[in-house]
Amino acid sequence: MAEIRLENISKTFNEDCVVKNISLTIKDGSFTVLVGPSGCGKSTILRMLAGFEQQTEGNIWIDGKLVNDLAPSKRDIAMVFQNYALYPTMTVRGNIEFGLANRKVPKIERQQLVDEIAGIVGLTDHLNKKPDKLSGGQRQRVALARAMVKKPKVFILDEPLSNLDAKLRTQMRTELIELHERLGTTFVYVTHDQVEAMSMGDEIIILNKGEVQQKAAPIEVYQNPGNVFAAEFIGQPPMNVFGRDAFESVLEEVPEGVSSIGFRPEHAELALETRNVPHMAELESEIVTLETLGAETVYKVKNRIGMMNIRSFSTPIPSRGTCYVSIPLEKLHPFAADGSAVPDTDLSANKEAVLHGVR
Amino acid sequence: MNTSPIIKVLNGLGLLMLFLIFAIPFIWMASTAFKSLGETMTFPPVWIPETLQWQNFVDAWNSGPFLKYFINSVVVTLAILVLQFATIIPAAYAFARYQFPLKNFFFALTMVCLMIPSQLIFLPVYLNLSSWGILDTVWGLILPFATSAFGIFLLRQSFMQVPEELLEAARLDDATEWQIIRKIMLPLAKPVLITLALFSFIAHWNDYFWPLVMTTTDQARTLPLGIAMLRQVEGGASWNIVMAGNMLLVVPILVIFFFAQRHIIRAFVYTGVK
Repeated sequence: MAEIRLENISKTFNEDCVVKNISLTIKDGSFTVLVGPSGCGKSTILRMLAGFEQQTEGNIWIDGKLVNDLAPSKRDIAMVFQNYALYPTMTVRGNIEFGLANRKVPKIERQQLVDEIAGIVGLTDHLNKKPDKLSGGQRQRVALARAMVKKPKVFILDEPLSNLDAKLRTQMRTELIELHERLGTTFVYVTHDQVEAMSMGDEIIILNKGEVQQKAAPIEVYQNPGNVFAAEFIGQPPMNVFGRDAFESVLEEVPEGVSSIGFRPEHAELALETRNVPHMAELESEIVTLETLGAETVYKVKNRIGMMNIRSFSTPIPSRGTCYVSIPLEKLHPFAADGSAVPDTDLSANKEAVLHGVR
Repeated sequence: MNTSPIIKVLNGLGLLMLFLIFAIPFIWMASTAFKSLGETMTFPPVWIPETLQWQNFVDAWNSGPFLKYFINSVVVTLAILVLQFATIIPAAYAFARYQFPLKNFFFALTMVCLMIPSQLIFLPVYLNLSSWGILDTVWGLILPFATSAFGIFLLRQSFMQVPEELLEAARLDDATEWQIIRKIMLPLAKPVLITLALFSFIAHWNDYFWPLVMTTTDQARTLPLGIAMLRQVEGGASWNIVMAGNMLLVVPILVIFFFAQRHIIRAFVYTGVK
């Protein structure tokens, strides 16, 4: 168990700055997810944490110890790799105990530890097989077991579920959450999948272009996105964000300093007839496409503000003609010119913002 | 796809022809080794001798210090094998996995060594060995082949195919560089190692040119030289004795082929694909 502290970390590859002056603290025992699009620097941060890359600037502390110049094996961390990186010529047992053998753990103790861990991850029957005889999910478990058996202070997981099929991924997600609860160790998890980030982390760190966009609990990221990037990254489909001009024609007053406004597709309501609900901006719209997903329907509609996604949980509207979209004013998220959220701006002051939009 | 019986037969005949082209010299050698001197001269030639002349082998063996030749051959071939592996493995690992100044230059230098035929450099090497005073010793036959540019090249290619994550995982598992080589790299490169061992063994077991140049007495001569000298005894060549000697030379290789067939086929296919 350990707290991880990054202090003004930067990483430059051939004058290309991939991590820009990041400072953050990963709490002891937390399940922290680094999430962002490819090339955002999340894997680089992970590799610096593990010691495979040397940061260009800054300090890394693990459990109060400065680890800048410490070799990976001396940092008391274990890593699960995206492609598992199992030793192909060794059996499952060989894979799990390789680290212990290198640390000169006596054979009997090693055997006990391996058997114990194999029981936890459900590999007892496969200990004498080679990795190429295992399924994807079993390989994943071997990789986890290999990490667990060393009883590290920190677990680092680099997109560990991305090679699994959808069903197994959901299952492993739950298993990982349970594992984290059971071990109570600090987990640092990298993914580009926002669903994984939301469902697994107790803390999400959203990264883009080498900079932290937001660091908060999943629900906080969803409800109060720190900036436009975080708003558009989390959520499926992403938040609808439009410029100030588009909203000026809908709202009575847009406060100073607000340069764009967004709302989540699931917060807007869609009806076939005008309803004139107070505290909602109603827009006459045209349905362009719809995706029926069973429990929900995602509409793409066009109106005077622009193209937007609406996510609805009621029965799908069969026709593609005219409809009315109502956006609750309290669910609007104002953003400043630099993209950051403008927190204390209440747009619901626009009481009668009901407008029948001209398309 | 259905192949017509005619094509199958033609195919089979073609393969049989190919087989005979390669096999007849060997069969001829084996047959001659068992003939009497008279039978080697008869025309039309006989394929199966009337009585098997086992005596030929004894004569061949006794016609010179063949035990010495044999021991020299074994010592030289094995020493070359061991030295080559001892030098090739670290070099290939370094070229494949480390970054160091002038790496590309040194690798190019290695590749140049691969391209120079030994006939071109035997004279300077001869002078060099002469100044060290190890001409006409087994060392003179071993040291020039203590490493192999081809081996470094082939093993480097194989090492480069190992994913970096595997090494990182091993480093996290407290493995030293040597443990990484021994426990992870070498087991993965096994087909290549077998290929290299075979190439090296066959090349140096059969080598005639280098021992011919470097040795002047029976002190360091190897089997191929001894057998070549069988031809020169007592004026006319007793081909049955020469062939019996050749059998002695070839049998160890045949034995290895017999035991390592599976690996050999895989190894040669492997190099073919590369």
